[in-house]
Amino acid sequence: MFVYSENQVHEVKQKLYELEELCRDKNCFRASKSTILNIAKIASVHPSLSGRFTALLDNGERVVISRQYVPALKQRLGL
Amino acid sequence: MKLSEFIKDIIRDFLIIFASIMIIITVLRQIYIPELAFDLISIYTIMGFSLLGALTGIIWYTPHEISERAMRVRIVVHFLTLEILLIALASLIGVVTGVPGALLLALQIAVVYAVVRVLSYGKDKKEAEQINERLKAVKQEIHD
Repeated sequence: MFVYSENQVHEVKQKLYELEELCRDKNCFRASKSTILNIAKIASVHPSLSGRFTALLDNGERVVISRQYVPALKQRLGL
Repeated sequence: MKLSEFIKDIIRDFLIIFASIMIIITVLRQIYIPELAFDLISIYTIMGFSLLGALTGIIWYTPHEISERAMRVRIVVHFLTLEILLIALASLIGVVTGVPGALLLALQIAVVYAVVRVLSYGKDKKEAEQINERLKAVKQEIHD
């Protein structure tokens, strides 16, 4: 499991669901089976033709947001 | 998605498809041929194809993340599977006879599939716009 910060990549021992629990009160949410994203680092969200969403991060990277996790993101944003 | 959730979705889809077909056929028969009764074989045929239609959802199941390209391939596979199933059903119940009829039905299915995809994309686009507006506000709050 790897945590990507602004300038570094950290390897962590926790499993993804454990990290999800740890980050519950932060600006983070589960975006897919393998990813937790920091909402504050998302530049924008775009739909894709396959029915999923793609998050464009502040560092230019694109990450898939699975359809099943979109409600969680909306809830975190108060939508 | 967990396998148990996925199976629940398939069962829900089956019930929705079956109920929708039965309601539509009942209303149309009431309007156009009220004297014709439902026979058990027709109901079982519709039930069987509703189940097959719902089972095409298996194409979307994946235990791991897959790429955008792989997802698009699955859309094509799903579309072709639906085409084959629906044309087979139409031939079986005698709605379509001959190649021209089958081709026309294939075209109609393609149009409906495309319309559903476009509408779904439009809905997702609006949802993304809402999310982006809130994202801007949240980032602003964090910076202030």
